[in-house]
Amino acid sequence: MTAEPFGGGPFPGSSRSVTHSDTSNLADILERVLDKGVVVAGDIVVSLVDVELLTIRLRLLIASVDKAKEMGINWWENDGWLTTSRSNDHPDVSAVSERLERLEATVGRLASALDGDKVGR
Amino acid sequence: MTSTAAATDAARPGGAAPAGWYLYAIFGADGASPGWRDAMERDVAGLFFVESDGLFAAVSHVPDELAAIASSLGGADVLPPAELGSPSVAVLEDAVRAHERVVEKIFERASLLPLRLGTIFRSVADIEQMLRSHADDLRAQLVEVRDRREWGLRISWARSAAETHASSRLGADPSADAAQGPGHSYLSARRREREGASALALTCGERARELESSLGAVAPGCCTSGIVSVDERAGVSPSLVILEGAFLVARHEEDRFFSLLQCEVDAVEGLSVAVSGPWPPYSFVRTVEIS
Repeated sequence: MTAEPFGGGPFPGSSRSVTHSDTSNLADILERVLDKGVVVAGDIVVSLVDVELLTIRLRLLIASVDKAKEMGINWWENDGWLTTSRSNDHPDVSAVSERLERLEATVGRLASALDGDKVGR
Repeated sequence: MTSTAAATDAARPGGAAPAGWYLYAIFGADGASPGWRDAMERDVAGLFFVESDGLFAAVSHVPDELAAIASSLGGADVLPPAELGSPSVAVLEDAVRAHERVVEKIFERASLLPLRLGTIFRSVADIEQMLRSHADDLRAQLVEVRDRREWGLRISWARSAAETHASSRLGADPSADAAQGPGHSYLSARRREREGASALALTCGERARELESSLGAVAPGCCTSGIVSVDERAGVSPSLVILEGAFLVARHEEDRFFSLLQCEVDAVEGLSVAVSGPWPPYSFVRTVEIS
């Protein structure tokens, strides 16, 4: 492997549709350094920052949600532990959607019947 | 252990007892550039190496930034509410940036496995034991990432353009039938909205999977696809983030990868991509379990 400055190219050419940022964005760094990379787990490892990653995240969350979002940090919006949003593929959501469709179909038929009655009067 | 930069468990200058060894990265001699040791020692003050049969762990004494975090925790798991920019949060930012700077400096000289923030070993012997007992797995991971760099991608689709594509999935709009009564019309409109949202989700998911597959033919990817989030910055038309993740691209394939990316984005109205990097391969390494 030859030594090159870390930022050596090729960088993707900037265009209207493709923008490039280097590795200085804090949100990008946090996502990697706190949440990715090799984790060495076991007795002989002492974690000085003796908290789980979630706790570190909670600390940032408590600080200021608006400020964090300004910085592009919004991981909690997609974190299963911190959001109640569910995908439409979730079984509960699918079941509720199906029941809603049946109810609306029934109401639709009733509405049609009522509309027909009004026309007939 | 070898060399003038070998880590030892002797007391630190000033007589302070060593508080452990902070681990930044693991790399192999065969994946490092000639003269790597001198270059790394020159580039990163206080960097030491622990070796076991050609595998190296790049370590230092525990950085002051992390010692400051530990003292500010004071035994609590969560800091009290504070504004971002307060000293405690600023210290966390310093620690994170310092860790990344060191990893990137090492990455200039060697293909490596980057460590997550905050890994500290009690002794040099413990580090050697870890390298020895997991040599096969570590070497296999190093082969997978050799001469490759991670690039972060965030692909967005303008909502209006995505909805135009999605509309081809929908049939005639029953709510447009003027002959319907108001009740039926309302329900039809509600149904149309749900169908539209479902069509939009399906369209975005398909588009994201096509992109991931196309780019994945050049480099392995690690992505979340579908409608990942909505970008609604003030003054800008809302766009849907349809793919977010990272690709591990071989250095000699980077031209081809980015040319392909540009083509894919240009081929579809409303697509845009934000690229970050290059990064060490954080997203493509595995946990090392010490039993």
